[in-house]
Amino acid sequence: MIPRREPCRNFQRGSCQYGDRCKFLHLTQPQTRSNPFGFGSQSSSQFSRASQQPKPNTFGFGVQDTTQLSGVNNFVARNQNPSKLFENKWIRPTATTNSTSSQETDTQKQAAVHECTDPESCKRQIIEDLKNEAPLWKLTCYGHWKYLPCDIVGDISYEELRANAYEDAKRGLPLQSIVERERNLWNSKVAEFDNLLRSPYVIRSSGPTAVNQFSISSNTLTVSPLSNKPPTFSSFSQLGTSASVAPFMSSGSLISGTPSNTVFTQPSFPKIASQISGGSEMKFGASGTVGGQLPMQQFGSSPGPSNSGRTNGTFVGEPRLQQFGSSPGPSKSNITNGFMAMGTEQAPLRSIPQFFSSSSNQSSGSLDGPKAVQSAPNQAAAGDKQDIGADDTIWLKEWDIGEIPEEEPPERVCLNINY
Amino acid sequence: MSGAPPSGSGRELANPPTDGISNLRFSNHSDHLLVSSWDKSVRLYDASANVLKGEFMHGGPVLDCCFHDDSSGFSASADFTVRRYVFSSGKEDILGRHVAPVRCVEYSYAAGQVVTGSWDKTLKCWDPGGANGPEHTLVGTYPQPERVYSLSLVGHRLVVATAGRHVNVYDLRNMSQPEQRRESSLKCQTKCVRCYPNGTGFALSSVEGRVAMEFFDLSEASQSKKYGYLLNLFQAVAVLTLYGTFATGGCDGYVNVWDGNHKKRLYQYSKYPSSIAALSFSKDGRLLAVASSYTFEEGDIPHEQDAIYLRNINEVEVRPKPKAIHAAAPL
Repeated sequence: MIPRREPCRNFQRGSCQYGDRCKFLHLTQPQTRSNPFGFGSQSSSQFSRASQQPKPNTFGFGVQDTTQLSGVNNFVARNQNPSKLFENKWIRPTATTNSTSSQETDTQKQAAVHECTDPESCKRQIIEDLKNEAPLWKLTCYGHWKYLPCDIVGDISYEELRANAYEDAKRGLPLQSIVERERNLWNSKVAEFDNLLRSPYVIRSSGPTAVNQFSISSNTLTVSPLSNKPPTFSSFSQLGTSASVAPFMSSGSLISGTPSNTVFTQPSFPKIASQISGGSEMKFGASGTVGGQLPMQQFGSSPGPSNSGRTNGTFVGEPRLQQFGSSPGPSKSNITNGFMAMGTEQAPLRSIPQFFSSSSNQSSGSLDGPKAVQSAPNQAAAGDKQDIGADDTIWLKEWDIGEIPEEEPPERVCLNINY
Repeated sequence: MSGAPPSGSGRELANPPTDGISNLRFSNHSDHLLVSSWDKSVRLYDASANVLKGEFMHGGPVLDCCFHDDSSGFSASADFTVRRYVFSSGKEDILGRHVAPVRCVEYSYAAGQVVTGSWDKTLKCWDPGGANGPEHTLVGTYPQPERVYSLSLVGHRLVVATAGRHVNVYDLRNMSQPEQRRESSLKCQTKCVRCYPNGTGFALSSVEGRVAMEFFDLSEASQSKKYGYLLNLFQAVAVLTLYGTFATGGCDGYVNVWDGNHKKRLYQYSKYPSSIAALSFSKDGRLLAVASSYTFEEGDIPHEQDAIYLRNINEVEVRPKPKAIHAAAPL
């Protein structure tokens, strides 16, 4: 293959999927284009936000700018370009003249006005992100649009995991249990992402759609059907999150119009943690969460979530996960990252619920096959045990991770999620 | 995998820590290097002479360290304490405590204070001149929305990055409330934040390996730009050089130097045997210290020793390129 004269733009940006096969030159000295205008200076036209109005980074949610929304959709559509690896994610539809550079300026304007009013675009964005750029570190928070609060909260940093592991080891906790705990943590978080993927912002319309799959383990969040109030997650009590749930929804910012419920409605999630393997299906998207940026902060952050106000109730806590300090973190240095399953006991991730709120916890009997975008390895589990009985108590019981009912829960036990 | 890295990686520092390295910093005045490690030690090296000059122990893994001046420094540890050292005399004491592991420590020359961020969701400012023990040194405690993951100072500005992708910008002269409260423009957990030397903004890196360049000025013309590509796998540790370019290191073992303005990679150093845990440029830009330390992202597998490499930097590697240059082979 004879490289053409031009330098490869992708390589210059840091990643060219063709590698040696690329027909452009892979140089380490990039060609300069315009005058370097100084680090961080604003003068270059490349970075000027041409048309869109600027939005301060602290824009709140709920900016009602419908015109932008279409822009967002375009943006999303345009970004569905698998061949570009990670590069084009942030390309602004209105690329300025400077080819590559401008393409890379993130469309802040676009982002600024993303209001999550269109669940489909949010969903596309999420799917795209999780498919193409799934972070290697799974215990991360995630916001599907920049500057917006997190959709999945409760992140843990590598250092925290490691510090906890060391602490545990110091306390004499056997390596195995530390690893186990980390692994659970990991899995539950992956399940959370999976759920997000499956049903982000599905909002309204159908109410608890299959989402129910959550394999939420036990903790049962007392499913409080019919109430948009965040369920009192008993399980969360540990974290105290239950309280937090409340704020959640309200946040106007989030989801425009979506009822707060989102997350909380799904009480059941809490347990996701450790086992999520069942493929927590929580579809959170379904209900309210949409738009969501439900910041569910679960981790560490205090039991109640709500980040800085915005988050609605996040809670969900994952109380466990983070419990730094309190619970011994993954013990041992070795564990540190491994995500070794975090202590099982702790784990139930409550956090997951957040998203799911929308879909009532119901463990969707039908479990749609997980769309699996990213299927966490454990997800497979999804046990389906469920003894579906006519008895409503089944819907209120504590579900183990992996349990998936065979049928959808009847309406009467579904949370009323109104978007 | 075993075996020495190619000689292009730089020379290895003698007597490295025995466990993972959490951070390393060059002094602003000399080639002294302060290294904090998960083996609970803080070590001071003379990088040019390749000599270990001092070692201090904490009760728990040390998560961050910084210099005060060439003869003293601070460290932040998982044992909840912030310690201060006087290198010449070997004296150390506890500057203060948090209620959870202290994740970051910085010294502000502008304010004359030590700033620490902790997983107890607070930021604390300390006056190191306070001579009478921990109870007299605390200047203030500032609650954060979440656990503090990283912080950086430039001039009078302090940028704090927490869990949940929050970013707070403070003016050290008025800490009563943040100057700006933002969410990260990156989608995933923030890994670290570094301010630009010219004080106009900061770079945020996330666990997905991206770096976002943001500006303090919120006017339209200064909105943040973002890198469109994945810079490094998994962990991105960003360090800013004299020229306004920055270096990142990741779990893939590569250190790359980027030109933020042009969004180009300027240079890539040869692969290090383990993940890059920390990077630091010396004050004059001649040396780059690279901590190659297995970060357990794959669990407990046999791995290379933790090591610190020092490489001499050529200006060409880190200077933004004003003109097209062809065919420079990466090292």
